[in-house]
Amino acid sequence: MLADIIENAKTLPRAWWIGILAAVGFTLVYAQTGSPYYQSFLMSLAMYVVLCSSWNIISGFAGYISFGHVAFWGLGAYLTAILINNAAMPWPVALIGAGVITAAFAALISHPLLRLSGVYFAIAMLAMAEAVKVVVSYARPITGGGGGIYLRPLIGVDDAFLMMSLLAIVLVAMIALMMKTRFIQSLLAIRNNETASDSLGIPTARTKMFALVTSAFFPAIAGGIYILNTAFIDPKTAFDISITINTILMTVFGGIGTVLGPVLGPIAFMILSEGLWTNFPFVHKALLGVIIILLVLFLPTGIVPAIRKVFTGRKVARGTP
Amino acid sequence: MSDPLLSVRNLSKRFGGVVANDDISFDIAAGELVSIIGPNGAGKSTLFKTVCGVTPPRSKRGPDSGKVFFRGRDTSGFAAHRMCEAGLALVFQETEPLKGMTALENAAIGALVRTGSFHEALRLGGQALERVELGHRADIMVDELTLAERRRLEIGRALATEPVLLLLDEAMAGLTPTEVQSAVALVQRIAGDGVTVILIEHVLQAVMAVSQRIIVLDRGRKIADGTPSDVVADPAVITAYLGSELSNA
Repeated sequence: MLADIIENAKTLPRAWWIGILAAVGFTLVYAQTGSPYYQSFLMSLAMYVVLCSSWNIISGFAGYISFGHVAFWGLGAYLTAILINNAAMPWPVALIGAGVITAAFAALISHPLLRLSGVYFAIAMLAMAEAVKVVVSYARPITGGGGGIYLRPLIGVDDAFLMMSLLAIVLVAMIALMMKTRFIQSLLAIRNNETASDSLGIPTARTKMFALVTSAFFPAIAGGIYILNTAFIDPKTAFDISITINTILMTVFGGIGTVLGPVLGPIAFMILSEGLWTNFPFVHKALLGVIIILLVLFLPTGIVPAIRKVFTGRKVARGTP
Repeated sequence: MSDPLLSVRNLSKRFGGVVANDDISFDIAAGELVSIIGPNGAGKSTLFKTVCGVTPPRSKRGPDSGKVFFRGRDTSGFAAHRMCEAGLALVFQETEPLKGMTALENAAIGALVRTGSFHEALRLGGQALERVELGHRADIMVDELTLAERRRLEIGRALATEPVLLLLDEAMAGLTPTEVQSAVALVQRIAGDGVTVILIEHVLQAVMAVSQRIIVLDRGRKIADGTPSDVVADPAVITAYLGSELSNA
């Protein structure tokens, strides 16, 4: 895979490199100079880029639509706090530990859940997230139960913004560089036709498991960064289904199965949402709903495929960077 | 026959109360070009899928009883991707192009079983497309290919896995007589390259033209196995399958 990534790095359009470097540069500068309000807003935006891009791996590329993605984010937040409070780990170690344990959890559940497909997988993931929420709510000695878990504030909003943004940039760049690799091409084949893929030598079960594990690791880290900054989380927030719904909505908005869709989707959605909230505080949700319906009707493939269609004049497949 | 490439021993496969394959045994030697024929519902496609490890949902993988030996190994119950790794490729009855990809990318997916590098797979996929005379259509999206081209692409994609045994399940279905002639030539060329080929085919013109040996199934059982001339003269075959064809001849 490394040889493919190096080859992809050589052929990645220059605009991509400029975009990545600009994003890194902006993040480093704005973390020092930006206002806390906008840093907080941009941190949420970066968090959704991480959630959308990671959801896109299992759902956009592999075609297994997950309604339980928030579970990985919530687990990451809780595990980070638990590892710091109960195991006295330094927060960077706890953060990585939370990501690894969440990824291991994803590997564990992948065997039964990825035998399902379509709506059955979606419902099973939803049920998994609810089950995790219930377990966390009742494991009071470790998790604080329904009252939530507290943490000594460890990083400010400027550092949280910096870390979340760099995480988002690393994830998006990694996916862009991995598009023409065996892993993502195998996922695209599985999404197309799992039986044919299996008969062409793709170990579908193992590939899907790896997709779910990757898809779980990054939101867990994002959840960890979130709690390092907020210093508190409860089950209702950590496993809030609206986070999953927003993730799906933003990715579809941007273009499911593309690399840039899960980046442009959250940017467009959050700017729109923030603008409506500022200008129409009493009806902003109704207006947002109307806009979403119109977009689904008139731009069903999302922003990125629509833009590509305008420029290339042809339908562009999912999985195109 | 010494050391058959594929050996099917007393294979049976049931789906509920339906016996799809009943105690089927045969050997295929390396380099042979064999056709399996039989009326609709004879169990031909089920036999292929059982040998290849392709499992319908909620069904047991591999034969319910009996054994499959491939290249000397007991491969009964192997998953399809393991059979492909072992050197067996199946072309499905229905064309199954990977949509949203070009012909070359489709072929490259097949080559991924032989290399960890997608860029190398693209190179191998390109070679496979040349073998099926689709090199000039490499960059075309699969949705834009004709049926005959999609059939060739399926064969090319299977060849990209570098099989020693290629199973073609009605790869000529729906083709015009000219296209069938071209497909027959392609199958003969593949066999000439040293790949052992087993065909399931309803196009008797093609079966008679290419087969060194024909196995006939009827209602899940093997009823004949021999050279084309022996098989067409077999009364059991005439009764079960070829009767009307021969009387019209």
